Amino acid sequence: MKSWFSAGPYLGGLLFLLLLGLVNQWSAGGKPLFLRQLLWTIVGLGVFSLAAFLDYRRFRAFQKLLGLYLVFILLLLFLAFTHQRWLHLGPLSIQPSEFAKPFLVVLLASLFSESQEEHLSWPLLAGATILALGPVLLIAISDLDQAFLILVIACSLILFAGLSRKTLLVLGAGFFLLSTLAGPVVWKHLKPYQRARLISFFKPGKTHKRWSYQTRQALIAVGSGGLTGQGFKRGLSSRLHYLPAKHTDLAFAVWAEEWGFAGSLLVLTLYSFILSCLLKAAYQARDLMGRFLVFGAACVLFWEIFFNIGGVIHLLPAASLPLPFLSCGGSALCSNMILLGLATSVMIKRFSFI
Amino acid sequence: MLLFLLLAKLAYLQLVRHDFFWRLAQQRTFFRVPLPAPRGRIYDFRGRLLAGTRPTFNLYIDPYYLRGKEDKVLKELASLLGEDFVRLKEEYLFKKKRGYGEILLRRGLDRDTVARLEARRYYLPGLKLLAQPERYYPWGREFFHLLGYVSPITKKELQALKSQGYGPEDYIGRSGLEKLFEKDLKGEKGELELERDAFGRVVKVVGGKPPVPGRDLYLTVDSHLQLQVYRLLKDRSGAILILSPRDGKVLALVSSPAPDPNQFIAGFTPSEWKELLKDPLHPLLNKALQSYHPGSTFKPLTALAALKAGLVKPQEEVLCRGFHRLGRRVFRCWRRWGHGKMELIQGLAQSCDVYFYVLGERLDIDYLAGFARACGFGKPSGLALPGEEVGIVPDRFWKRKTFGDKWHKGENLIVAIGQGALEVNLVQLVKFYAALANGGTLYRPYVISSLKTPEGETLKEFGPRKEARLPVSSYWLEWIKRGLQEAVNGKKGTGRAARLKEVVVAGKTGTAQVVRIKRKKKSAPKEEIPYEERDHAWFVAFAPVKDPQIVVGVFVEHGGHGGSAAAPLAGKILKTYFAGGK
Ligand SMILES: [Zn+2]
Repeated sequence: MKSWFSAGPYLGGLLFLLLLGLVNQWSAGGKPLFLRQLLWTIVGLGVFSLAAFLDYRRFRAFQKLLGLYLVFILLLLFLAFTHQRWLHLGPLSIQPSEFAKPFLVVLLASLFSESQEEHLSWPLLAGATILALGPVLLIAISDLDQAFLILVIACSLILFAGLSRKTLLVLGAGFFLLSTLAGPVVWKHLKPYQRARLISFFKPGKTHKRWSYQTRQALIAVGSGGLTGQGFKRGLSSRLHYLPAKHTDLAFAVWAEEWGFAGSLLVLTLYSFILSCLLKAAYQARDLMGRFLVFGAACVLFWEIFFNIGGVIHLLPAASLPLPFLSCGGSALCSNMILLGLATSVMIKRFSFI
Repeated sequence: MLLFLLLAKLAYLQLVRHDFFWRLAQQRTFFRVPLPAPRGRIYDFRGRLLAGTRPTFNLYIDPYYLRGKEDKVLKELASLLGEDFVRLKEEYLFKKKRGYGEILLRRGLDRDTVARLEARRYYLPGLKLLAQPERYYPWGREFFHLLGYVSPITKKELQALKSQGYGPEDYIGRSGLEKLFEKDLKGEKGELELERDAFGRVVKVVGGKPPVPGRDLYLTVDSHLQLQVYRLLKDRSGAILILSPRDGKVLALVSSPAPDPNQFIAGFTPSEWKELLKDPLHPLLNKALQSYHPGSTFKPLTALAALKAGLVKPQEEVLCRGFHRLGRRVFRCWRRWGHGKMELIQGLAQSCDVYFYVLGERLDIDYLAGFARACGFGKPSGLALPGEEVGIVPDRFWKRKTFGDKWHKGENLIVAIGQGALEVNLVQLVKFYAALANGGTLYRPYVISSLKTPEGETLKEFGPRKEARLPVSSYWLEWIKRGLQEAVNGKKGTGRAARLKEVVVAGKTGTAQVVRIKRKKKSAPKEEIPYEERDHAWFVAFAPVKDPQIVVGVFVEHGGHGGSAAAPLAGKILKTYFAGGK
């Protein structure tokens, strides 16, 4: 029980964020979306507790996981060939690409925990690369932003696992070579709107006339929030439908408009609190598997937050990614809850030596 | 941590640039719709309405509700309006591109069309029929030249007048009093502040202010008299001005022919408009403000100038043999066989040209011109209606400036009988006769008696204004009046057609030559002379002579002789005026 108690603030912060997400959906999406989000939150909490009570050490059995992984890859393959993002199961719509993140984190964690040395060995690195590239490539076909996010997460994990200086140099050089060669090819195959996003971001002398409609409306919403915001359900941009995708990609804009800088500060503080809890847990984890798991969860959370908010406030090119907890979407919520559940499991297992 | 980067940018956006984005949000979300102000009304001196506003039905359409079914709805609308679908759609697309939200598609719909549209409302989503104030004139042509008219603002005017609150759907006063008092009549627009969503739909009314109606004008004009007078001129080109000699009040001012001012609001078809411009009777010109040769109506002024200078005595006799010789030139009297012995009274009464040639020969032109200017000629009459021509009072300086030539004595003689370069307008002439009638005071003619708020509160009163006195003693004026009385009542008077049984009328005829005498076949009957070459007919009269109440000036363009074309009209006007028991 002591362990649960010590995880209290972390759990409290998480619940608070979930609550804020519900409040935000109430404003952005109205009652039907709110109820859906409420349902998903309950499901997410269930998944969370399930994962938290699970003994993560069971996942060490890498071979068993590999079988599941292959099934998952097949699913992605099926979706990629039918050009779908969603899997429709009766009334439920699931976005399998979201679940690639927890899957990959668990897989890589269990893979890396085999490592006995300080640096990753070549075979392990190669294995990790192959494991990561599978979903990345398959998802890239239908959802480039998501694929990029997964790539970044995988790279972060690999870097965290540690690479020798030599390997790092070789990889760096290889990456540089690859990007200069493949850059133009990739550019050619980007969809027009994706190109436009990049252009609008990197073009010098950005005036507000050059902003894309979405960026412009997001910035207006965020900026017009001011210090204290326009008030719950009173944001001009969200109430009058100026914000596209206001309950998913631009959920943060709705939040910032209605609650102002104070609200933004609160959300960011909660995020950093949870992240710092996770990082602390990663260092205190009893074994390598736990450390990698918790760090993986933190990575996923961090990059999702960074890419989403960065996109909304025009710090990065606009990306179509959901913001953890604040955006609507069951798959994303569940996937995040699984990861955080696992991380919690690591946290509370810290003191048990069974 | 990278999250601090996010925080920093958020702080920048939400705290530093807050005002900028707030303004952007405001611009995007709120918009203002002008509420037209009803134009001020115009009343005659009895309070009869001459120009008012009435609700008219304007057709608006909101493109938002037409999405995806534009063709279907517009086709339906075109058939209901009885218009061509393709042209309607073109217009719709053009206006849609230009504006945001609702489009004003048609205005001034008649009741039948409104009823038809209402009945089919279900098939016409986004359609809105709004009753909005519009100018209308209960009388049409009779008051056109006095009141003027309003018509839609042009693009160019809009650019210049935007700062004064004009919008693209506004009307603007074009001539007459509508133009002169545009600022008072137009009122102040109100506006409605609306909140709109991303699709351009109006969500709710946020605020605004009601329009302030324009101020009402009360005129000195008697609308009964005005209507009768216009009827007299019907089918003829000309103008009639009736003044009160006691204070310069305008009782009636008409110019004929005139278009219907209501039609400027509905709009002319191009062919109608072309016809209007090509009409030889020039319906768009206010002939009371155009300058013409005054002809013999100028003779009293010549006589006064000569009397004052002592160049002639009233009793002095001049022999008229039908012509007057000056050097090698011969000047003819209008009566070719002559008038015989003429003194002042008969000279005026019979309008003997030779008598005035003699006066003209004695007068110095600069003195005569100065005298005429002191009597109000050659400068604005003071009525202030737009488009007035001030005419020409020629003298040596004018001749040198205009033709670079020196003055010839012969021109004196021509000016003395109101011909040559001399040009006056009806208002100046009637104003001068009013001064003759009232004993020498030149009153500024005025047509507005007061300016009131729509609630009836008086904002400004206008009263008589003495401009000057005629530069002669009333003794000489009495002589002239006797001459004018003789002209109407004397056996050989030229203005006998204006004689009345009940009241003693004094007046003077005038026949202004349009083409030089030599070119004209002298004895040809009027009908054989082309219209453009026929003389202008004048007659100015006042009555009763003892205590004048009314001055009537009649001008008939290309009407022929003043005695036969203009004097009878003045006679009729005086008769009805005095029969009316004023
Ligand atoms: Zn004669």
